[in-house]
Amino acid sequence: MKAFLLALFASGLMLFSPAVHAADKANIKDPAIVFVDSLADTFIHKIFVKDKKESAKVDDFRNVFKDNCDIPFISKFVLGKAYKTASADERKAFQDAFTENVVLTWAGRFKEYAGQTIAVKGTRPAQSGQIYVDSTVISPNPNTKPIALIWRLKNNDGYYKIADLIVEGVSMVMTYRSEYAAILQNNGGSVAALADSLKAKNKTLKQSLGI
Amino acid sequence: MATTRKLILSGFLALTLLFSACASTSSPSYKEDPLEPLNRGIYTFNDIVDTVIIRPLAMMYKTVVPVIMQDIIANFIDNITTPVSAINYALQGNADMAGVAIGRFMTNTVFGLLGTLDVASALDIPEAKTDFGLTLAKWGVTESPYFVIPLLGPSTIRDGIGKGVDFFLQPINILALNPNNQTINDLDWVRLGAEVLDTRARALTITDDIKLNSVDPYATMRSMYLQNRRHSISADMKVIDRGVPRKENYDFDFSADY
Repeated sequence: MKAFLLALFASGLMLFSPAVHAADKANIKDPAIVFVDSLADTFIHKIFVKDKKESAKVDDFRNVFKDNCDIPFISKFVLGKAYKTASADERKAFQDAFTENVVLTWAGRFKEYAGQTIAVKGTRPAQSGQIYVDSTVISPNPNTKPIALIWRLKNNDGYYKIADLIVEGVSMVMTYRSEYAAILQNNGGSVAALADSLKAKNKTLKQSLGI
Repeated sequence: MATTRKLILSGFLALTLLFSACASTSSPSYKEDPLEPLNRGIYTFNDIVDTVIIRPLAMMYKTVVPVIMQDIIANFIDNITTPVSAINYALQGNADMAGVAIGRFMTNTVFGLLGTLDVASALDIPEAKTDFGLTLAKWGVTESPYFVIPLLGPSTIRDGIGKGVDFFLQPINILALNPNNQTINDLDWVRLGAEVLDTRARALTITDDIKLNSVDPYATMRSMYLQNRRHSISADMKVIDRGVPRKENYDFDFSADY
């Protein structure tokens, strides 16, 4: 458990480092790898730069996140069975609150970036025509062991979008789904109440970020 | 000292019974967490003890003790628990990894100043970590219900038993069973304390992260623990079955009903 916990934390930090290729010759042209590389590049050179206001960093990250993740797809899965019985308004309210929660969560983790790099190792097929990009997160501290990070990508009409991130075997999307299933269980299945809890959490996160 | 351990154990049992009474009465959300009301109670108890005692101590440990010293302590604890991995690999029928674990232990103890330096990793000797819970899994004990251990945190009943067995498999604990040997017993308590602090210090940022960002931290931790545990078992099985591909838990179908 403790190894995994460290892995999860470090994964939050690795998104902002330039990727290093383990096998340049074989993989340099693979579009999935190019996608992961350019995303890491964007974070470190465009978003997470010095002398930039915190709120500006979060705004930029929000835009990149919305462009590069298939949010409706993830949001639907994360709601689980409750999606079917929720109204269109409830689904939208949830999706917006969920998106904001993910953006603010990761914004908080960026603050602790400590120079990690990622090494992309290769790709392999996932279920339903999706693709896994395998990478490891390497810390500048030699005592910290490298962490396995897998990107699950979906191909939407020729554009890759992130469908999931898997850290040391733990799927982020599955974790969110489990958490929200528990909350829905305890509030009688109300998606509206879940969206409200997320909004309240988002308020707290904004305060702790100082924006 | 042996009586103290018994007292603490019965104390835990009493506390878990107490907290099961206070916990919520909602029905469990998962077939894998039928003990949810009890577990949520224990989680709340752990959280209080952690907030009041353990976390502040771990924070102090992290800020006051120099990083080099923290690494030395971490290495020492990792090394002294390596024989347990060796024994478990042997029980799993994995002679290769048992050998690696023994090699690690000998290298670090003899050349790494009694385990305070991780010479084995510098020599590219691979990691060799397993436990009795995984041994039970290999023997076919299917995953048992999620169970939060008082003070120790997330586990399952099978893995909780595993932790207990491993605790007593440690050489220093076998020696400590002799109630006449006061020095060994005292050393053992010190080592246990150091291990708790070291573990807690290493996990500080993550638990803070989960508690800050999660609407239901209990459910988040449970999900992460169970997924990570299944992944460990699956990875271990791969080593034993020599690369026979196994279905990964994270390779789920987004359109399926779970």
